[in-house]
Amino acid sequence: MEWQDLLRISVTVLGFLCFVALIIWAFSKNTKAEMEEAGRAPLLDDDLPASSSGQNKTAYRAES
Amino acid sequence: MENQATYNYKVVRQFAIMTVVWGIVGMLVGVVIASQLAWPELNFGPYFHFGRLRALHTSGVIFAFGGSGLFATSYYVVQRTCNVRLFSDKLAAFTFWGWQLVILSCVITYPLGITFNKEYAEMEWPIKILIAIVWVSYAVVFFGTIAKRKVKHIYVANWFYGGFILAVALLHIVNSAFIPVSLWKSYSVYAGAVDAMVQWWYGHNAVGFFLTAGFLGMMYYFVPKQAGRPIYSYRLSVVHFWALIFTYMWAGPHHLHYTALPDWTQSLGMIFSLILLAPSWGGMINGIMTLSGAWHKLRTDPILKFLITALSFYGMSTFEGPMMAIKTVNALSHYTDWTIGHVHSGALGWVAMITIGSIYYLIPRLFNREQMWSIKLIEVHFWIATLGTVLYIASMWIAGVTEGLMWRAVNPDGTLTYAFIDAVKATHPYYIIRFLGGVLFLSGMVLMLYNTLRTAFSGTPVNAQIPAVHAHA
Repeated sequence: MEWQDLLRISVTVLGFLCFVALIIWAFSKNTKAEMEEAGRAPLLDDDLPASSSGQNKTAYRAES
Repeated sequence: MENQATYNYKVVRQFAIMTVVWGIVGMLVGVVIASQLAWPELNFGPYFHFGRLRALHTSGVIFAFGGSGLFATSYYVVQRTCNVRLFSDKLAAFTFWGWQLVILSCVITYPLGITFNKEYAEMEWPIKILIAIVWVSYAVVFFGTIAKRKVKHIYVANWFYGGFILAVALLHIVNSAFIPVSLWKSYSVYAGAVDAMVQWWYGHNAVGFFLTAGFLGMMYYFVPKQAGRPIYSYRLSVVHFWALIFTYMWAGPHHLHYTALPDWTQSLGMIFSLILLAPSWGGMINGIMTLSGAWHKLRTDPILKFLITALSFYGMSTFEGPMMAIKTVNALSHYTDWTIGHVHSGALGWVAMITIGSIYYLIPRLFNREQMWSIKLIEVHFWIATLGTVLYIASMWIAGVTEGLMWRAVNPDGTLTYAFIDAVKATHPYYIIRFLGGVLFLSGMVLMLYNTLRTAFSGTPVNAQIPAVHAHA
């Protein structure tokens, strides 16, 4: 049973460390631009069918 | 044949329409069973009895209404954000017809008394196998589409949808492990406390992944789109996703406080439920703050009202949930109507409202229209739905706390102050208010169906052109 416990503990600790690493990665300076671009991506895709649909998009582009 | 120049809107359209239809059916059954609780004379014969219809209501709203909404929106979002058509039209069509068959089988077998006897997993083994097949096909279509995407980054909504699809496959298969004894009867392979723990590991993660992660996928796409602003913090959304994934799986034991489950397991479930408050509120704040600088849009846009009110209810119920998971609070709330109130603050307030908002966003786009047939009707729907939700949860809170206090009251000599029937009598008026809340919410859905049909008949079903991959901003 001992090695099982050891495995369980290691997986839990490893999972936690991965999570901490992930937070540091997500909020690091290097990823800032990339993250902001990813957040904007769906707005650049115009999915309104009618011709007047461009308005929203251009309005957004103008302010960014 | 497959046309790679367009998106597959057909399957999105089918699921979107069925979301509204199943919403009405599932909520109608809910209103029926609410009236059976208020007026027991309405329990007719074995087929029309509360005990059998209750499972029909829960499966109807979770899997038929919520499930169809998740299929519709995930197929739409994954195509639009990956800039490609669905991986396979045939397999996508199979998931639609397969899922409808699953629902129909439940509608037939539940009233007949055919049941696996596990909450939110009442379907017998042949239906369970069909679900597994449909679900694996869903995963193939979804991840296949991600695999052939034209943009490098996988948008966060797809992470939530993907997490939901994988987790539900795992939960369904583990919890459904059965030993069949005949065509329509099987037994769980687990026994005793282990069976209970597996069931609530499944049950709570059905809430966590089916009713939360999937709908957060909706939130991360439709809130920014409808608000016309990018998500408040994309980095927070990444942390939000992983925090949910890491913590939700552990929270199940809070459904089994003060039972035969080992005490340390109960405490573990309680602690992780408390931890869950952080990612839940992080996500809620992320969604609501998306509107910062554009709050005025809330005044005029009823679709945005649905989406943002949904997030407010999400915040409320994810505060209430951890609180109820605390063992001492649970000692009062468990087995009372407080639990029912809590579930519906999540189900009506969060799940249904975010779905309704997203479907209102989708319907015009799927029928080549600029907007829904009547914006005014959406506004009316919003207020009816909000009022219905508030009536429902407030009445159940009062009923629940009343029950909890009456059940635990003891006389100085140690005997119970109240007989069980006293608590039943005390809650009766609130059962009627709950019924009224349900009727309101249901009538809002009927308006939605009318508005949807008017929009559909005045538009034409389309498959939108896939735009060229937008240049990197």
